[in-house]
Amino acid sequence: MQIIVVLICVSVVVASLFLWAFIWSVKSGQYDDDYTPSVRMLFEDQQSENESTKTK
Amino acid sequence: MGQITIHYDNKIVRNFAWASVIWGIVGMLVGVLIALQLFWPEANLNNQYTSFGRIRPLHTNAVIFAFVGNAIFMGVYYSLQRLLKARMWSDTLSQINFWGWQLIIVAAALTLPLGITTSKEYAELEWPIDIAIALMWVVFGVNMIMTIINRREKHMYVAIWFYLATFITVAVLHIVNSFELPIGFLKSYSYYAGVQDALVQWWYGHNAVAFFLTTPYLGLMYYFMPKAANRPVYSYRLSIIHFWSLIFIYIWAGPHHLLYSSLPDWAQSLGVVFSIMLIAPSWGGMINGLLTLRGVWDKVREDPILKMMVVAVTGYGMATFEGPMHSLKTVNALSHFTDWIPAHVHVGTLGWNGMLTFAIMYFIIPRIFNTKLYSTKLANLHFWMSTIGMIFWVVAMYWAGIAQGLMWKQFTPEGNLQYPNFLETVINIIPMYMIRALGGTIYLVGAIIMAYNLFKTAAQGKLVANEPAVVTELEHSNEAGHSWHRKLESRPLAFTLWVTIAILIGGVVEFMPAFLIKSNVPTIASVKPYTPLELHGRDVYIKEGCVSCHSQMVRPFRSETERYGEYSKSGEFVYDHPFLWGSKRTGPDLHRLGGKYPDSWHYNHMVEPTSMSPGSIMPKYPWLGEQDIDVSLTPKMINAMRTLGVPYEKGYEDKANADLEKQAATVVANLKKDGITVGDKSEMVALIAYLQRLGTDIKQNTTASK
Amino acid sequence: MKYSPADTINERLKCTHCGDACDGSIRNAEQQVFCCQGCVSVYQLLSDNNMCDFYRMQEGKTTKPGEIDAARFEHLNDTELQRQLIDYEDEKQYRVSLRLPQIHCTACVYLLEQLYRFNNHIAESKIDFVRKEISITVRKPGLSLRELVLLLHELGYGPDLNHKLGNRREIDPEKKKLLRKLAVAGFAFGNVMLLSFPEYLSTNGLNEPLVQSTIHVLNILLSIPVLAYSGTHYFKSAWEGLKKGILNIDIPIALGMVVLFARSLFEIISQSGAGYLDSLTGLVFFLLLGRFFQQKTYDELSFERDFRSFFPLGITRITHDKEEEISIDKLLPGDEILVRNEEVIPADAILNADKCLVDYSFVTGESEPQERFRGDVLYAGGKIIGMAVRMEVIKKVAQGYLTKLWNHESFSKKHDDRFKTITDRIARYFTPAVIGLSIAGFAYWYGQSPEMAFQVFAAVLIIACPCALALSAPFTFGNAIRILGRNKLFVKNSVVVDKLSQIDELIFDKTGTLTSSEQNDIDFSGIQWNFRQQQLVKTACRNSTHPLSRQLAQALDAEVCENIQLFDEVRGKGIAAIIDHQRVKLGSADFLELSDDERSSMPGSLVYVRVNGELLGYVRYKNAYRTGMDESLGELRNKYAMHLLSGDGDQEAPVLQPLFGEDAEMRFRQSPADKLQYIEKRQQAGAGLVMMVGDGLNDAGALQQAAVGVAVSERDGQFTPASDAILAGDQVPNLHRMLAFARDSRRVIFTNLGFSLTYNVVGLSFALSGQLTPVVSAILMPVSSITVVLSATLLTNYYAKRNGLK
Repeated sequence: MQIIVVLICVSVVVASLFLWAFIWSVKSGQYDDDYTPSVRMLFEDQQSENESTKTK
Repeated sequence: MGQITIHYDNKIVRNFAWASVIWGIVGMLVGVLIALQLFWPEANLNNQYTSFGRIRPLHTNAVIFAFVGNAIFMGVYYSLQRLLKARMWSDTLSQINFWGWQLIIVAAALTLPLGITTSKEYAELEWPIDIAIALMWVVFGVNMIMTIINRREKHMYVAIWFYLATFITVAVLHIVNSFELPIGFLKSYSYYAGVQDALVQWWYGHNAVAFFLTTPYLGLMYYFMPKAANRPVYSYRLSIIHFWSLIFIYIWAGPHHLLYSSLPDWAQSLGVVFSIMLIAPSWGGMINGLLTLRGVWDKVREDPILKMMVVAVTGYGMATFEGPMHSLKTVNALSHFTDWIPAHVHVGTLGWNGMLTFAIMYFIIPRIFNTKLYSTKLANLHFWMSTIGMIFWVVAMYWAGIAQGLMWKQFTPEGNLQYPNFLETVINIIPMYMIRALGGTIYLVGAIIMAYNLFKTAAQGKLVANEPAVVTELEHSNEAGHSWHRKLESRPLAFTLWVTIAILIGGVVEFMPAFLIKSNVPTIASVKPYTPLELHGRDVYIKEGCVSCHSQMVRPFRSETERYGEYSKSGEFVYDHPFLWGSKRTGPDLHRLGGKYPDSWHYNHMVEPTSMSPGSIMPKYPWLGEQDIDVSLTPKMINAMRTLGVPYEKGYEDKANADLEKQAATVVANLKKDGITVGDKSEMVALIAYLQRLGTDIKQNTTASK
Repeated sequence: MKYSPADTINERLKCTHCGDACDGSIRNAEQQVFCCQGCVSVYQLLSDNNMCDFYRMQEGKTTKPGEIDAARFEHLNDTELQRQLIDYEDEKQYRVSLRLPQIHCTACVYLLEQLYRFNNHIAESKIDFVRKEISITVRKPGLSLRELVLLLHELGYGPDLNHKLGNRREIDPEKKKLLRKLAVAGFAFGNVMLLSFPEYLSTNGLNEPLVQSTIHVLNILLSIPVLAYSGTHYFKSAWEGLKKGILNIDIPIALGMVVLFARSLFEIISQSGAGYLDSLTGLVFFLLLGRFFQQKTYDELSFERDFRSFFPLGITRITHDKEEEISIDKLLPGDEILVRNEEVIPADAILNADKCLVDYSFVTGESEPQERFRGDVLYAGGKIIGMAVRMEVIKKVAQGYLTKLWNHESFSKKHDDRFKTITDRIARYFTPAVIGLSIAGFAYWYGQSPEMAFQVFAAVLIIACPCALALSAPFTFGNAIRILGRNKLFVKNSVVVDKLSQIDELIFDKTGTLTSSEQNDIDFSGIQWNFRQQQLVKTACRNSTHPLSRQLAQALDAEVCENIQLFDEVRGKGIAAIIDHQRVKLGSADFLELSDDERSSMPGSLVYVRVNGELLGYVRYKNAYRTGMDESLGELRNKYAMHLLSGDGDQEAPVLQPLFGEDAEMRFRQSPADKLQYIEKRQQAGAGLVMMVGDGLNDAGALQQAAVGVAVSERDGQFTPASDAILAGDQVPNLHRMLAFARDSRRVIFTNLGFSLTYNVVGLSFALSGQLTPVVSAILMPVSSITVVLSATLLTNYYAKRNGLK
């Protein structure tokens, strides 16, 4: 059953990685706003080339 | 800081889309072919390269890694660029990712029919291809992570988190499961043996389903479903919770594939508990997906994309409800090894993966070709064909699985098995196999219609290879603060603590494998290593994919011990590199086969199965008597086995072939007695030697102690 | 107000921009129909910038642009003010966060996140939809803050500049830190439980030494961050307590945590057992979970709103007949300022105009505007109604009447230390008792077996670890806060609920508290009129926005006449109109120029009515007590000592005395300072815990002085001083239920303590007799925590229901 040790360790390491990712995401403000991103992703980007030269 | 015009790379999206369409059709075609063989064995075209055992892994690999794999890349490359407002970091890496992945698929399509396989489910490919997969996966990961780092949108939409988790976890899974010792360019043995190998395999197998077929698709669902419905996801907060809870629970549920096996009880129970917990996040995600469509059901009725998405998400819900159910020991006792499992799997793959892929393709192709879909009518037709095909497929298999499972367990009032002949239980469900093949065919034709529709769409439009987009340049102002390590350094205590923990964990992980081999001592004294001929026979067994239909795991139920013999003990598998427990019994279990029939029975059964078992659906294996094993490999095999901890004495590799010839001669002589002539180096002889050995070590033990 | 009969509106014509019905008179070059010039310009702006997608997306109503008076934003050029508003600034850019109350749909996000299309100096704009906030980055040099605000106004999204945004970066770290600690503890707890699985299932442990030791090592590794990171708060608090010489509840918790960890470490290293790391991580996790929910509840209520957020940020100063906008901080005595309609008087000042109307509603709760004449002192906080007026500042903003009241020393609640929370009170006995017991156990066993003695010592501390005690109050009060909040009593923190449960005396304000400032009873006994006359009056009232007119229009049951020839309203005075060729005039006695004989001396607000020159009489608006107030007061006077402090005259005393009870003390014509002193006196007299229920700034001092100050608020967003709790006006008659509920929640805590005491006694008897097996403690500890958490939640919900709360 020794392999189980390896699997447990690998799984804990992966899980720790995700814990770190979670803490990072909370810390860096990823979840400060938990509504607007779901709306923002619906907008298509503006495509007009000539527009952009104007604003550049 | 200001607005700039960037260009999204649509070409790579198109490439992956076409690859997915083409490989998908190929994979489904192979699927239909093997479905036909299950009631019409001659459908193997009397050819070893298209025989069930060899092309069943071709089907699974093609649909999982070629169809779904390419679709993942298609969806990720499309949505990632738009969510991050950035072109993929490196076009070169994108190209390498694409062509590398296609080469891997071609390699798989060539090696698997040739019988070059590790026999571990969904990880059948041999080591050079494994390395290539790891490299391509890293290429994809680097490209994705660098794009994320260079993003112009601060917030990382929930889909991206799913993509990231997919990348990290699949990388770890693939590497851990692919530990193998090569003995040649295309042959290797699993690093692990028996129960341990089984555990790693199903830890991998379960998580592959979780992180290759589920998490990336959830990411795609969270992107494409709101897009297609043009309304935000029902609850963004729920999607975040969905992600984190799923990620933290999924990885522990693997052992549920090994219930009633030789795995320790507590590990089985652990798997059960976590599998049941999984239902919460899974259904949370499903409900979130379905409720996204609240208020637009009128649109769903008309739009084939949304319709397919609804079926896909419903399929996800069904599959994730069934999974925990199958993890309950009582259900598992009935369902495991039956056709119920393929039914469960296909609700997930045909429904969830297939339908979502189709929907995404109908969404993406018109957009990147700047045109409208060629025919909505055809898309609707495709929707109905997929749905009906899937229903035929799964309903037939639910029926077949439950019926057969019950028959296996049925006792007469006198206490004898009602159906002692395994074949009876097979013949009973053959009509179901026919319906399954019909369902699969309908699904396949639907996919071909889609391909036509999509190619026509592409033809009427023009690829916008580089789609312009005005985005805001993100300037990293100095207000952002310090980098993480500077922050840690400023707190020496915390820094020391975390470094210590990191080192400790690293250390634990590093030194553990060293323990492995040493402790690989057999716990059953009578269990001996395989003879050289049996090792060759085992390789033939692996090559022909016998494990696809025959398990080698007698579970501790009366119905099974009555039918097959004593239940399997973990100590019996300590020399099995790899393990061959199997996951599905289309034919009977073989673990106690050794000594049951004379050698000639096996010979005749291989050449003409129906001669020994009238009505058998096993294909014929005439080539086994014609092809020879490569005895020059024997010393390498012995050495490899010894490295992996099998106690062959020192120098045995030089004497092995002498032993092999001696044993082969016995088999040949046995056959001769019954009037059968066969070459002593033939694969047939080796395979018979192996089959006659199966499960006999422990029998000697019991007879000896009697 | 211009009146337009309904039939003239063509139903099919809708404004292209806002969707309002319109008559079609306003059209743009493309012949599209608009309701007003504002909408035309916004539409033009959008179409010029290729943004007409906005209309496609748009689901609800678009925001109508308001009338913009560019001069109003002059003060935004003031650097002082800019510093307040701007979040971040360097040589190249500045970023500002503004509140845009008009944000209401997806299309708003679409529009506002592409502000850069309207002005190329805008680099980026991000919306927080839920908070209705926009964060804009502007490249320098280029667009000034004032121009930015004007641009937003033009688009119909005028920012709410008075609502200073709480700087998110300052508030959040604590919350995020707690979340991180919770995540770490939860992660460790989950994994330790998971890894303890073999231990749970097989009674004789694992027969695989390697697996076992790996699991143990991992468990220790997982527990370290829990102890060293997640649990730090408890160690700190215990240490602070010790330094002050107070035995608080955190001491046994901290001690328990250390002992649990040390003991586990010892067991694992000596290979005598698996330790209690699952209990340790679970304990910390549940403790933090309680704290997290508590904090989350508080966050939903924003209390610490600076009263200055209701003041204008800038004001127009007149020097040598030239107007300039300055920040109000710069206002000096002697400055002449111009205050326009609906603007708030920023500092005490003397009126330099003939007369003006001032609405002091949010200072006094009095809804009727008051008239002030040249030379009168206008106190800060009033709102000017009608014509803009000039005035001379006599005090700096910091010295204003409101500010002074605000800064009264009693406003900073220093006397909180007097009150001991339940938990602290019990901890005072609990902590020494536990420590004493463990020492006693140690002493008893030491003679027989020193090894056993250490084990017992540790066992007592572990089993008596007051998780139940520590969890009980936060969970009970946390849930109570939630329930009270649902019933619109917004409580500041759990200490307030604790106090609410122990109130001895109740002091009420009258106006705005017992009475509603929104609905009055109308008395028609002073008027004689026929149906036709009522119809005319109703029609006149319908066209006015004044609260009294609206109430009257509502009260009259007559058909509205549509034929209006003339309509003229003098705000706060009355209405003169010609309807159906009949002259209608109604309003105050002065407005109708009545003689002394014609004036009535009845209390309340009187509105006189004259039709075609004939005085019909007056309509009287009585003070209306809130519905159900008598019943509520009846309940309350049985339980509490009652007092009434009113700023009004004592006309109502005969009505109120029976409601409050014969022995209740009632005082009228009380100034804010009087109220404050009254409470102070009660407290000095040892009256116990005094609760004050009042409204408006006039009661602010009293609300602060009382142990619990409950501010009654009629509308959301109405000014409320930093009281302990805010009660929605319509819920005042439910106060007795809420107080009863608060008392019950105290009962819940005691019930829970009973539970945990039982567990502790059982556990302690095991521990002291040296029989504490891992199984017993592993079962007792989580079960006691879970029982407490569950019963706290269930019982509070039960009591809420029983008390008739939502």
